[in-house]
Amino acid sequence: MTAVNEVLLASTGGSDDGFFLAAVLFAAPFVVLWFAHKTLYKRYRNQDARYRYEQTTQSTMSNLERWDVFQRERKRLRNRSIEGRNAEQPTQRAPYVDLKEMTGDPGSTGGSDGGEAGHQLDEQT
Amino acid sequence: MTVPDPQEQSATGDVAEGAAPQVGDGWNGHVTHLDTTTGKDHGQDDCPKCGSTEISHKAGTMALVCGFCRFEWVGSRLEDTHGLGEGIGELSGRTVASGAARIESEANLVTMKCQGCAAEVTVDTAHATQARCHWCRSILSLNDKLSNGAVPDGILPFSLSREQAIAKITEFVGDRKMLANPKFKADFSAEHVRPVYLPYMVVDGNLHARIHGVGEVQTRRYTVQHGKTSTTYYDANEFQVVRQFDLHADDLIVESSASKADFATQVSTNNIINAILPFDVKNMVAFNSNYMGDIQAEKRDMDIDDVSRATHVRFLTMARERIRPDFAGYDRGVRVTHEEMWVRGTRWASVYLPVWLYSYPERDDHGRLTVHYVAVNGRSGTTMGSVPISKGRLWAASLGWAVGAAVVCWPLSLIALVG
Repeated sequence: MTAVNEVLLASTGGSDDGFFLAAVLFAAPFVVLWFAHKTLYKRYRNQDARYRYEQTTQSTMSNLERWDVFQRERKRLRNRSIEGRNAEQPTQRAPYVDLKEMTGDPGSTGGSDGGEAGHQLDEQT
Repeated sequence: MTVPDPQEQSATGDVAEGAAPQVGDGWNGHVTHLDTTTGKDHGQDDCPKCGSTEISHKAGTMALVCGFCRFEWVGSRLEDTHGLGEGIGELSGRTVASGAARIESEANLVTMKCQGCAAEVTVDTAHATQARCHWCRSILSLNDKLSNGAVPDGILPFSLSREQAIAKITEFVGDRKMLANPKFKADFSAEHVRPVYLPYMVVDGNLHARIHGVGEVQTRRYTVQHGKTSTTYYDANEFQVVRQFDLHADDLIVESSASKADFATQVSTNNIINAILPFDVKNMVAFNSNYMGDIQAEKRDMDIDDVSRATHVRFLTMARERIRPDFAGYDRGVRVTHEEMWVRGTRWASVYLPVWLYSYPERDDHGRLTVHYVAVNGRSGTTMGSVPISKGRLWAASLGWAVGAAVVCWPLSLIALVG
């Protein structure tokens, strides 16, 4: 795979640099057209406006526990960041979601496997 | 908060797994009731000083004022009288205030007996909580909770005047007139803005969250030359990452009107009304019909069961947002793979919140109707709106930008090609 990449990259080098720059400059107005249309539509319709409850609702975090366990060393990665990076998008749900409504009574059985009965909200995608 | 340096973690190879949290058993449907009823009969609600029923909200304040003797008083804050802001960590199961109880009746019409002349007066609770006796002119109010969801626990009165709301809407639309639909521009008149009280639930949550993921820390960055081109590579250490914590959420606001809770609909721009949240619900006072006067309200038609799932998902999003800074040590980022949340306890109260609303129905080329809203938060003045846009003008403006770019870029493109 690396050898293929090297060939592909090599094919864009040298005297083709001028052609590549010309192609980028030729395409730029079409990108501007798409960007202007999207930006202006958004400014008028605000279709993605929403209540930022995750930032504005008061909350207190406590009893934080952390586990950071080394798994492996990875070499010759091409991407600047981890594949599937999503920690910065709190509204984007993870592949596995488990929501359970409990009694909250610490005196009862508890545990991560508790609460199979009652109003339980599980989601697995 | 100290962010651990993943480099310092030992390569134990252990499975990262937290201790079982204390969350109790699965919720069994038991509800703890929080009594916010007043015990008062429906009908006349008199001035405490002179007995007149001519009571109204004093604009821009939290006070009620008697129209006869000008005596002023302020309703009691629910946070103070019922401790709504306290004890979130002790919440267990569902705690439900009287106004958020299950809707048992669909009947909108409620008949009250006038204490002044004994006449029977009917009020349509789908839109109002007061009516004037047609015989003796006394104002009759709904003074206690109803089983049809029409009377909430609390209310936040308007603090933004009509003139201020008109100015906000005029400014918002004025900034967007150039590409607006010509018919909208011709029809627009901010004078048509109307005040409305919309029903919401205010929810506290005693939560426990566990977030699993994979994080990477860059150890090396290097560039390899391939003939005349080069490629940058990265080496990284991969970690299994788990964060487990308690979260106490205070006053999350959730829609409780079905027609306004659906943000995916093409029929109306409900997200606009959602976007003017939040409100200062800490200041909400016990519901009193006199705060509403002639202002219409939309009746709550969703029970806790209808909104609990959406609420729990919002809690989970809040947990993800709170833990986000803790991943800063992973400079190549974190991929969250599992989200777990145990909702130990919740507390629900219903409230009417004040909104200035301008609406405009637009029918598209296919005959589909979309209602565009421009909404103003009746407390903070936050304004958001959807302005119908002219497709022709939008394309013309976009093309204008594109032509400008072409004038600059295409000659340079030719030079690059020839050179």
